[in-house]
Amino acid sequence: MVAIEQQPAAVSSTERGVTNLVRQSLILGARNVRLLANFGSVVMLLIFPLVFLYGFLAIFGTLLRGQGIDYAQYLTPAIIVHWMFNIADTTAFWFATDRRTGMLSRYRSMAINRGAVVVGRLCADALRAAISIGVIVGAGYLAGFRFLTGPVAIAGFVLLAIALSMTLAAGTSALGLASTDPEAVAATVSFPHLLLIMVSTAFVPAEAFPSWLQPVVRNSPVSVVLDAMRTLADGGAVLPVLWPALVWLAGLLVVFSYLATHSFRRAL
Amino acid sequence: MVDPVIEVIQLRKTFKQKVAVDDVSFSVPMGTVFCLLGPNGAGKTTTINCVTTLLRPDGGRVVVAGHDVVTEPAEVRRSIALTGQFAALDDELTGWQNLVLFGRLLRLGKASARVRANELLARFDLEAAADQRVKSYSGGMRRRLDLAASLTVERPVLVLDEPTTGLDPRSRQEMWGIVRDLRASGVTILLTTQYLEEVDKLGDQIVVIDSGRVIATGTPDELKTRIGRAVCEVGIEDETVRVMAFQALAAAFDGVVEAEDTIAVPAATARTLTEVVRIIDGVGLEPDSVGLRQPSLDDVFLALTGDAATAGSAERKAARGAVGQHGETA
Amino acid sequence: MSVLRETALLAGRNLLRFLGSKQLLANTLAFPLALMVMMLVVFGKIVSAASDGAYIDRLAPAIMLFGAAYSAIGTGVGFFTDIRTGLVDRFCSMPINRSAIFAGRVCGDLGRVLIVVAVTAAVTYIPGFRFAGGPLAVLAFFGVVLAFASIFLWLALVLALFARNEDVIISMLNPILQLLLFFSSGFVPITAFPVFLRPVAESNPLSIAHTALVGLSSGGPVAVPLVQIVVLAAIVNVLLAPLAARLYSRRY
Repeated sequence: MVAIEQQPAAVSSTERGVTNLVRQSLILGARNVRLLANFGSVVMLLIFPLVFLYGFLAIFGTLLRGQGIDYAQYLTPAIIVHWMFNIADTTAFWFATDRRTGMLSRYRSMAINRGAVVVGRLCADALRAAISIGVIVGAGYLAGFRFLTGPVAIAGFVLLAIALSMTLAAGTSALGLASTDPEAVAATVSFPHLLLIMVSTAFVPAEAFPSWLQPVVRNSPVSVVLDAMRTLADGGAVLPVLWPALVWLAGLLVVFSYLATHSFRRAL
Repeated sequence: MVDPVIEVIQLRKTFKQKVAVDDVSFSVPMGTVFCLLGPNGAGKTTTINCVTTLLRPDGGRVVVAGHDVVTEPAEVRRSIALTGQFAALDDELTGWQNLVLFGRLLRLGKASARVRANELLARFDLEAAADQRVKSYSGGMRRRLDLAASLTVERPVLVLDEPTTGLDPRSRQEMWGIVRDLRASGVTILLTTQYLEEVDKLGDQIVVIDSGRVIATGTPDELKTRIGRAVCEVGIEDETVRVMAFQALAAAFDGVVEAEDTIAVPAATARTLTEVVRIIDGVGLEPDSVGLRQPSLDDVFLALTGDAATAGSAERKAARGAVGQHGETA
Repeated sequence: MSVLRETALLAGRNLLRFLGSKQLLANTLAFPLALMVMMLVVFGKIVSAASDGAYIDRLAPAIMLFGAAYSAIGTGVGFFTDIRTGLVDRFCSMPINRSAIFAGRVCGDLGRVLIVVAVTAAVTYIPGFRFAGGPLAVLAFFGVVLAFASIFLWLALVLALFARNEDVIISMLNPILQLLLFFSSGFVPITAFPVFLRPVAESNPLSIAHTALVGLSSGGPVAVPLVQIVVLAAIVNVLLAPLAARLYSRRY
């Protein structure tokens, strides 16, 4: 056992620095993924998205076809975005689990990077996002959705959706870490989601909204991201729609990650 | 004179209205087992949380291994290992997987993390259960694994929050053995407990805490001198009889205390028992029961504060007010 | 110690928790109100033009039902926490009727639903929602909301007994509730649905309850949907209460 005076001065810190953040996040991410193999996750990632996609197509498909919109093409990215929100909604509760089992206290007292626990969570969510994107795109293909662009754009589409999921998950992580009562979190987490997804171009085009609301709808970050995704799938000028989406996501990701890390430091 | 490893100086922590820790100060010398003794709600866990950077102090200073917990929390975390009250382990993983996980998080390479895990499993007698999920572990096994996990990387300071609460006697003995071994290898240990016996067996120094305040410090021997080696307990249900017996005994002994149905007399030797019986007999009274027992946390508190450590102390104090004061030792 | 008394005591504890937590209270109330304002603004004119009657008459009951159902997530997660932190065990080890533990949770949370719905009704007075049916209809109105809510509360409790972790409850309930919301006659009339989907929308408990509520507050067919929702709620309650108790004993 080492007495304090004899501790080698060159013991490198395991807490500070990006290398530590990345390493530890991946280790924790792997652990989180192991916990995903449960019934609830499977149903949520594989079955429900299909119900939503086909249900919406059935209800609104004819209506919008009458307006000249290929709804399968229009809707598939929207369902993906909706699902990125759904995944983020559950993220807050993972921290409730860690708090209850005492793992959160353990992580907080260990000399690990202050952001590692949150980023580890985001990594697991990125995996969930990727799986559900695959499921929804596959189902969309059956309904008529097509990627009309090349592989680079397709990769961009997928990465953008995953980036959205991680940004949202950072936000709900901040919420989940800040509150010691899972019941209170439950009341908070789905509310902004529904609001944001409805007041956007997700399910209906902007023109369908009252004229005074249209600016809000058009500029909502959800609509901005959706515009980029749809362009990446349908074709057209990518850059003008892509950069606002990236700016929004980058900005929100920075803010949410900061808030989440702050919540982690103060959590109990 | 070596600097203390942990210095807590006028620590203060409040939660909304309640003051959980108020002006607590103590120093932990290197290589000792330092005990925080107190009942539930005394502020032990809050104090520990402030020392281990889980909570920010509202007042005072805490210095661990030369680093202030507020300004250099990362350095503090590098010097401590914490085993909290609830075994913080991943239930779904096996014992071995848990240890490897923590090892890798703390920068041991994959190979060294595995070697270390095996070492720890052997040291804590968990090899047989290494490949079973932690879910299936018994309470004692979980605590040992919890402690093992904290020791994945050797740190100069180990903090244990109620390490044996809820354990069966055998597991408790095992834990004590482990703590002694750790001290022998040079680790400084800060532990909290409700059990006087634990403090007696392990502690080099003690701080007694109640309601967020320090009410006594010293070595186990010093503490025992204050309350006596053992306690002679006289049970008398009838209040009038008890009052008379109390007065008779208080005249003859120091530190006699009256509790609900009993009178407790600090007993330096077993002879006190015969004395007590003689005195009570001498005033023509008959007790319901007389016996010798080991001092409990309640006795410590009664001696130190005049209140029992357990709930209801306020009522007892009020009830006792009319009867006459106990003798509080200097 | 009768089952009813025990249930009432445990229900009281739940209500106290709810009323005592500012965060919980605010969030639970804010959500339905915000949703309603938004829906009114976005869809108000369109739907009023497409059907007769003011949109608020359809929307307010829909929001109340949806808010009531959504509170089930909180119930599920809260009950799960109670189980895992040993509170339920403590109740089980006391001489209390097992079913009372669960019934107490449901009743307490129904009390919470009642408060939220009452507040929502008060707020919807402003954009024009009225109870046109008289005091008996008002009672029946709240009764239907509570009956509807009880279905989801029991569902959430049973989920809580199966769940391994906190997130399972929201993973399962969130999509179900979203589906309820979108595929119901609450927000758009049944006529807006394609023909082959109408049976789905019609058999949606939200749609049934909604029709009953609209009938009770604004006038319209009441008897059939009312009976349907009460029967459905009764079946769910009678089936799930003892099931929950048995599941609990078997799992823990």
